[in-house]
Amino acid sequence: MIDVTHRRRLAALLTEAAELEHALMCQYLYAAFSMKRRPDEGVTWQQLELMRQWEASILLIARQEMEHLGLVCNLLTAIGEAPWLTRPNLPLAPRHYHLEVPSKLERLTEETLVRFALFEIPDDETDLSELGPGLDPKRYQTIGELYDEISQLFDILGEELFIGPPGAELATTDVIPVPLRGISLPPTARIYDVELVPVTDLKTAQEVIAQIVEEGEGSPGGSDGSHYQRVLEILKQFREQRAQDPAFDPARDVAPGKITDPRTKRVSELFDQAYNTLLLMLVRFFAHSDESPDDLTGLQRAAFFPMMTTVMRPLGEVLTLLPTGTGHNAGPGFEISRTLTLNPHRESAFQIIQDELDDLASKAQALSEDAGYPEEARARLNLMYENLARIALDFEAVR
Amino acid sequence: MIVAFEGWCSLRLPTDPDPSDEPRGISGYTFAFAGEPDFDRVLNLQPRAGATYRSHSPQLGVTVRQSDDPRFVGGTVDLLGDPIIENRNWTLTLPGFEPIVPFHLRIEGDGVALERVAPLNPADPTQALWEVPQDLLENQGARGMEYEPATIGDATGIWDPLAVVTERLAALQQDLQHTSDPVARTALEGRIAELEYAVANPGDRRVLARNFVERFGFELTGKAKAEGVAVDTEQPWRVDFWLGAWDPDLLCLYMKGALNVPNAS
Repeated sequence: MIDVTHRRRLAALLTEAAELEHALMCQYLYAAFSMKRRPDEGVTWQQLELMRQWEASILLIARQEMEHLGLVCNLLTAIGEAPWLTRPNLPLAPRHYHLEVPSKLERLTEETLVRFALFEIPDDETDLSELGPGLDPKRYQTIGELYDEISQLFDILGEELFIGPPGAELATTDVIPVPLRGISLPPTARIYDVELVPVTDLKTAQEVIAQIVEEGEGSPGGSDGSHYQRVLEILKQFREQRAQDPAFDPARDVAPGKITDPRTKRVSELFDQAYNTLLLMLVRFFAHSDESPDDLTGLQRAAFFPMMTTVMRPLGEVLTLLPTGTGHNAGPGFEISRTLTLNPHRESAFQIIQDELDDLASKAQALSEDAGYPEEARARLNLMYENLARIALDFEAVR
Repeated sequence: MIVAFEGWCSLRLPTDPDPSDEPRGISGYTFAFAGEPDFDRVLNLQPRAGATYRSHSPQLGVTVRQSDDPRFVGGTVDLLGDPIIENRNWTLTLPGFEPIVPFHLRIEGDGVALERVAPLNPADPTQALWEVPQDLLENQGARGMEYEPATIGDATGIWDPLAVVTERLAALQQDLQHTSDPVARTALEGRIAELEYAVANPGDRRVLARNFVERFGFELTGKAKAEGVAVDTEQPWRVDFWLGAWDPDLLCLYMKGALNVPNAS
């Protein structure tokens, strides 16, 4: 008989891991979206080129945090639990996840980079002097330690643990079905730096855990390309730029909090509604049970490229151009405002998603017709509206 | 009447996973470097006055190579109206199946010209793009991304894309030594960094994309215009072509195909 106490502990830790990866993704995206993009924002072309590389690196990390969230959902599904797409809203106190690092939405600053590095520090890191003075590595529990315990519990519980439905977990090509002719991609191919691997047994579970840890903190043999090394490299370059140019500031004056400007508030609310709708889709996509292949195609085609890339990112970036009304620029709130449990009633669950998409398209149309937004924002809002309207149209057609 | 054409086009656009309206390129593999204007996504079959082209670009311009009316040979082929390869990050079609919108073809020769539009929805030519039914988008879209190095080699003479990347890298490193303007240097350094990545990762899109073609073939049914040549302007005209040999450093690609026009009865 399986040790249910250990299994409960494992499920709780995986749930915590899902929340952590999800919250980290939001924090990286917020920092990336805050970055200046043009010389008239007070940076030189040379600094912009460097910042472009930083933003690319941060967005890569954010995509891999999404991947980690997907991998943890695969681990949960494999052991017979439901995927976990919800999380507490930010900010969170340092001890919320036993990491001694607060979770919060912050523009890209030196302090933000140090905080990101502390999230990603390797288990065996004994010297934090690169991050700054007075940081004691013993004080910081690591995400790697969380996954160490998860790994040990998988070993203790063994093959008996894997009672999830075969074939329920998702691979890369389920999420990004790139159609190529003349070249065949394996289902777990790395596409856009993301590699989603199904979990079917103890071996694949341990491989997935190792993948998450290596991408985050690096492997024992080296950490090139890990999130930790990427953040350290940006931090080093940031400090070099600041030494050459004390006024260097790569981010807009973006701050979370109260928004009083009515136009900005409407964009912010649309962002959060779109984010919640996307999460509703992902819950069904990762937890699919009686969904037909067409249902899954509809969810995949709506959720991944279109919603994430043509709605969430443009809205998040546009927000950083708009005033809060309190002396700052706004940023994406990533606020979860609804329950994200798995609705057992498939028809009504899909209807709720459809209604949300239709409502989003209607609100986006109103924004796109409002001449009060800056020109750069208007062009993006208009395309975002057309894309949302198409997503809603296609989702209905597939159903 | 058949008018066969080919040549290099320019196309400054962001690439997945950047949004299609990303102005300068961040997370894809194409970028507007220092001092360059924002991306415009326009497929230019002809060089444009005032446009930005990168060093080491091929001679741009799609021209008529063969025709049963010799007055067209050597003439120019153009798409009018700032055409865009419209995929919108998989919102409209899967990648490789996107249409070119608008598709307004004009071919000019010696005292002759052919011009015709291909509306996506002939029954409603002004329909907004996002509303056009899927089957009509795909009818005028490409038929997939196809790995065809031999097709590209035959047309362009490029049989080894990695060698092209390696040679370009060496050329730009040489250029850098003779460039003093700080903005131009930053732009060159950006290109060099991307090419270095490509050389180190030959399986990356920066190299691999150069081997692919997208084939298009559809009928032009919109309003037709023929100048100095007797052709049927009522019956549909047929165009078949491929786009490929995408060079993400130069932001240009090759086009080859033919227009088939029924003679006047």
